[in-house]
Amino acid sequence: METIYHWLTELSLGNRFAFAVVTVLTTAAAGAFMALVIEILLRLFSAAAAKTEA
Amino acid sequence: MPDVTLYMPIAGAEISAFLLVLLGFTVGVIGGFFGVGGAFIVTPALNVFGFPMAYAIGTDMAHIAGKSIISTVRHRRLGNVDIRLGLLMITGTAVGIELGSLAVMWLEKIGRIDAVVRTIYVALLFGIGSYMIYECTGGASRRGSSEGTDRRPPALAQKAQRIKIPPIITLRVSGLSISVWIIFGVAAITGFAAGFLGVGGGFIRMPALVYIIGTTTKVAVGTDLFEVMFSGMYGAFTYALKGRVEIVAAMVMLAGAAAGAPLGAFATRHVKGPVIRLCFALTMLIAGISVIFKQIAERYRDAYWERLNAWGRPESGVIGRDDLIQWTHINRDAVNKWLATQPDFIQGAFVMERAWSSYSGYLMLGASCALSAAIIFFLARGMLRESAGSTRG
Repeated sequence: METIYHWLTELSLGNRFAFAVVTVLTTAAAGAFMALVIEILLRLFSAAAAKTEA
Repeated sequence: MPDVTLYMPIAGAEISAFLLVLLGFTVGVIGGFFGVGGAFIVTPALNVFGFPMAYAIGTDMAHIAGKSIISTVRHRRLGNVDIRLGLLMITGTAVGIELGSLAVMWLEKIGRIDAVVRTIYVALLFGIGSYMIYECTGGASRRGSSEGTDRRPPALAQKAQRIKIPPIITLRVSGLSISVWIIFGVAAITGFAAGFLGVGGGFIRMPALVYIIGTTTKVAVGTDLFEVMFSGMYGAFTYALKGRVEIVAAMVMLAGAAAGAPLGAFATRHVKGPVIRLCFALTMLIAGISVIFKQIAERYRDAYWERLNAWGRPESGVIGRDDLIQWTHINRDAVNKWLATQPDFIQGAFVMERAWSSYSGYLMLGASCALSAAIIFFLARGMLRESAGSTRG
């Protein structure tokens, strides 16, 4: 964790463009990943609900 | 409950992980329901938690970018996203955000950023909130809209749709034809506000889509989130280029938002458009009161600032006002020792400044918790009615 902190701090102070790219890619990837997980969970739930109803 | 305090390496602040997750969750629910990024909650809350304003704005932008992806995917499935309209608005928004963030940097240089941003914030929050309450209550009934549905576009939207400056575009999801220039104009103005105030622009754009473009509330919510996704990313990029994003805090908030955003999006299925707008308007007014509290805190800070500045600058080695404020948040022991040597009125002003700052943050946090609880209640009630209906059927 400390290594990541250190690297982020260095990046934000040094190479701002790389920091900006890392920021956008990280947030987009995290958002997309979480959206995917939620969709999968919802499908599992609705499949389970349909099974129970049947 | 065990709490984990996280150190934010870029902003140099310490903050509770629990508070960040809670903030992310509540703003996720509210954002998914209203179609906004929720910066009017997150930016002042982060500022109260000890983030300098520029870092609070940049961090919020990064969090908004991630969260709006989650909400947009949900709204797309519910048929609430007009991609054509959203794409058209992006260009104007990008230009507006860049101009807005340049204005922020300029104000930061002359040291007036907090006061100016807060004043404009308050004016917008109260203006939009009051108008929406008027429209959803008295205004709506005078126009004779049936049981508060979205079928008839507001008067301003009808006028905007009559302006036939080519090219005219037909938006199938929204069910309307309108000049592209109107869309660009709305996008540029809301984009400027987004960059300047550090918001995704949603709290201005969602009402603008309803009242000026003329979409239904639900399509405004979904389309706005689609746009917030891009404007948030663009905003995060520009603020990160200036080194003003605390990515660790953004990620922690995003974890909370991942749980909250789908709940908010689902809730829109069970609530009528005008009710969504009324809740939205009340939130705007509460946010406005919170910002006024913060402004009162600033007044108290002004009372002791000169003395703190004279002592703090050589002690801390920092130059900017925001940096010095931040330094006082981190080095509380040193500040307390200095404070003990000061006259009573300085000590009093210091205590009052901290108190009003806390009231502001807690009001916003409390309101967002209450509102997200109400939205979850709407969702649960709607689901229960739906399941009762299907059982009877």
